Amino acid sequence: MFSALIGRELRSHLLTYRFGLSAVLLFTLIVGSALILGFTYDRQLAAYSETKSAREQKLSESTDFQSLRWQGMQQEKAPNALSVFAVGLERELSRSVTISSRQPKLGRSKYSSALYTLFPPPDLLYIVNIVGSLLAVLFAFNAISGDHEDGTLRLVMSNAVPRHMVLLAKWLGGYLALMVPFFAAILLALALTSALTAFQLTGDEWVAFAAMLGVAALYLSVFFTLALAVSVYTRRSSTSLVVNFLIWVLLVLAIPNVAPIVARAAVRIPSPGAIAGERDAIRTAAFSSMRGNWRNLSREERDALRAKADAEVTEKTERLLDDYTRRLDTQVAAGVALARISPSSSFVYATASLAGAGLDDYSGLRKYIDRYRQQYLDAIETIEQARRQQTEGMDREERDEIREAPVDADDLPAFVPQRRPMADVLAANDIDILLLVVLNGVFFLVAYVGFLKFDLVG
Amino acid sequence: MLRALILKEWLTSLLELRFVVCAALCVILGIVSVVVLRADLEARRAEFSQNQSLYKDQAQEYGSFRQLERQGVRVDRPPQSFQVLFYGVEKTLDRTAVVSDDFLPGFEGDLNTNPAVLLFPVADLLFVVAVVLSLLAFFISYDTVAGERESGTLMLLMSYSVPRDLIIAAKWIGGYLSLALPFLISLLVGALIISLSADVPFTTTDWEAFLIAGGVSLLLLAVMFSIGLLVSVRARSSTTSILSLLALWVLLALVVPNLGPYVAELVSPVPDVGQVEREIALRSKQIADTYQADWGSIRARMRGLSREERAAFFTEIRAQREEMQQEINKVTADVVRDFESRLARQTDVARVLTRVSPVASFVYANTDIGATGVRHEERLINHLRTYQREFVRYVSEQTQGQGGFGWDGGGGGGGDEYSIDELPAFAYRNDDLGSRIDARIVDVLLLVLFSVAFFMAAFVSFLRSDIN
Repeated sequence: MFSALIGRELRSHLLTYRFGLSAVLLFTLIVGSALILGFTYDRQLAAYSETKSAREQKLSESTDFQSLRWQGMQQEKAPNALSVFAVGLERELSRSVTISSRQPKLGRSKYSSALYTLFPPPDLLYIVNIVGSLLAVLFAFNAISGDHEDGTLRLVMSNAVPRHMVLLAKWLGGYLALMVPFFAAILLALALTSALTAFQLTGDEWVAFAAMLGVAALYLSVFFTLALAVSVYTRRSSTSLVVNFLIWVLLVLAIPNVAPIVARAAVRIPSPGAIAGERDAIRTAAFSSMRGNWRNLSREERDALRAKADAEVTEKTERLLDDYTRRLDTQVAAGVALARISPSSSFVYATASLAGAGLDDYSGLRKYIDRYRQQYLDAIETIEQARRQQTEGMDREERDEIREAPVDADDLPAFVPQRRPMADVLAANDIDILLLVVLNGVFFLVAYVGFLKFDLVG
Repeated sequence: MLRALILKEWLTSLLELRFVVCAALCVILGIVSVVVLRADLEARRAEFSQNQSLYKDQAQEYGSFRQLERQGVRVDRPPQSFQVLFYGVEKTLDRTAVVSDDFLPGFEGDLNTNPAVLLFPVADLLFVVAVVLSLLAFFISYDTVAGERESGTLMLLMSYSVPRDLIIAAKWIGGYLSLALPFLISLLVGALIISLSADVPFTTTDWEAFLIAGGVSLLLLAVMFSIGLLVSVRARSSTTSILSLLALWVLLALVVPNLGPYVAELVSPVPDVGQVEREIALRSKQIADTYQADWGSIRARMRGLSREERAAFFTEIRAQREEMQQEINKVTADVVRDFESRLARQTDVARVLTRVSPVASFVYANTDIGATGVRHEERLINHLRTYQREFVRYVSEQTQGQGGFGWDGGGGGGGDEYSIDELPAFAYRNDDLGSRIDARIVDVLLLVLFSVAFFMAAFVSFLRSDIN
């Protein structure tokens, strides 16, 4: 009986104009966006390998330790294959960063055109978040109220079918009708991008991608179930559509988009420019006080003074940054917490994190750069020391030849920010996933209770 | 007769639940967006003025003009008042530039920022009109004809001696008036909030821009409503009509404008930023190498020179150094100009491609009219470069006559006389409104053209349609 009900529900969807249109829309958007972003990924890969070989070429010419320290080296992380499906914060994360003894300096965005700032990227994340949720609402808004209006609900209920089974069949049938073209479009997009572009996923990335699809399915189910619940409580499908539309606009278009700005205005912190200025000021103050009596000091005294100033700068800078990042994290957390009123935000946070371009990856990169900078400076120090020891007692020409010989790129630490392990990502986003699961349950329960009390005659 | 018909259409819309709900939503969203963005602007303005004095104090601490030239003075992106309505490129996190002897300054990013805002579009009035109100336009128009045809009222109406052109004109005017109402209310309340807030300094030009932007928004609504009416005339049922319109809405408001920059990147590629930097570094190195060959033996040549001869020697070397810098600046400017002209071409390609969507034209027009768009970004960077030249001129005026190469670790130069009270401030002024409108006139005209074309199409379709 149950399967007959699901079959009926599924057929009633498949034969509609709505289904055809949605399928065409999903295929066009998902495949089109994956291909376009796939080609963009190709270009990024090419630029990345060009930059890498240019860096190695520069290193192979000769070595000036002073400039390696002061001017430093530009590093950038490898392009993220999953950005083909969820760009997230990749535009920011993909910037190059100059690693030197001074504070790390971010390069210009690779997304040079200012138009990128005007519009959000049309990736799968965006399509599911906005178009997918809208389609979910459209598939369910008249599930009960529509059947009630045209009398089929009464006809179904005149058979010996328990109500919960009817509701479950409606849910399952409609949800399947939505998800089948969705997954088919994703499969096609995967196949085409793999065939036509350099897009390839590794083992861990496949798991992340599967998890992204799982979260998308959960998210779409939230809106489908919500629309079903609204459909139970509104007796006319036109009313159901209006109420659903209202909720959808609030949850998808209003709350997530307002929350970060509200948090920024509510929890105020100094601007990064002010902090960078303070860092410079700490350095300037320490070194200018050091230079007061510079000329009259011996070499050892100068070294000691320099070491003292360095220690002072490090300590003060660390204190400043610790305090600042704590306040920054509070601001970010406030925005995230506020936005989580809407399942759309939970979906975006979780998916961007799974794709390796979420808020945690952003702060993770910041920490990685700090660690890397230290490793880099240590490596240079070690190489220089080793060469100094090696050349002791040699004549000037020989000594210079060894000291200025090119540094082997392999002797410097590689700049490879790692993807966080899946367990960590899931643990960090458990609230978002849990919220989506809970909302599904709650909305289904609300729909169930309403349907049990549904008056078929009225 | 027309008046009676318009009134009927208008009242029909106004009395419907969908209108009340959607209109209330638009008004609330519009107001909330202005209130929230006003708070954001207030915070930014406070931060801007605080930072201005902070940066000046920090520059004062350098203690010498040489140090100032090398380390530079920080400049923040001036907050744009119009961000309360159209956030546009103000969303960027690159807010601070360091103006130093570096020839091409730019606003720099920093990882110590809150990136959450980049994950979502900002809910400003631009978004409310482009996304929510255009959806409302479809919501109001989808059954204007299709619905009446289904319920039979259209046949009833046609049984009177009313010409069809009057009916369709009345439907357009009546429906459009109901659509414009919530928009005008949120615009008015927005204007009230802005004018009551001391922290949003709207000038007369800003108010003029506000009115024009309001007009452009009304044009977009006219286009979207005309499209809705056309689909409603041609659709067989109101369900088909609303579904087709929703699909169209997704494409026009959500997808086409967003795809623009990505497609343009593929159609009209620009070199990677790293590639441009490498090119500059390579060409600068070539120039520097030719000069450095001469400077190799400076220490040897200085030996045995008298004090006066040394001073003359320094002056000569300094002149050479400036010459080299100018040459480097010139090739840098060439490379950057080439990159920027290709980037501008790419932006134009993106604009042309996305102009099939009236929403894209609307966004381009209103962000530029409000000076929060791509044009503003370009002008801001140009201003920053001009300021850098002023800065360098100022520093060189202050350091003139002082010896050394400026390579001596920054200890010398200035000393007790170091004061930056007269350091020019970075003053950015928006373009005049006429030029902003001129720049976006194509988009405004396109909106006019679209609305006329779609209305005419709806009109002709209705004249030829079978009311049964």
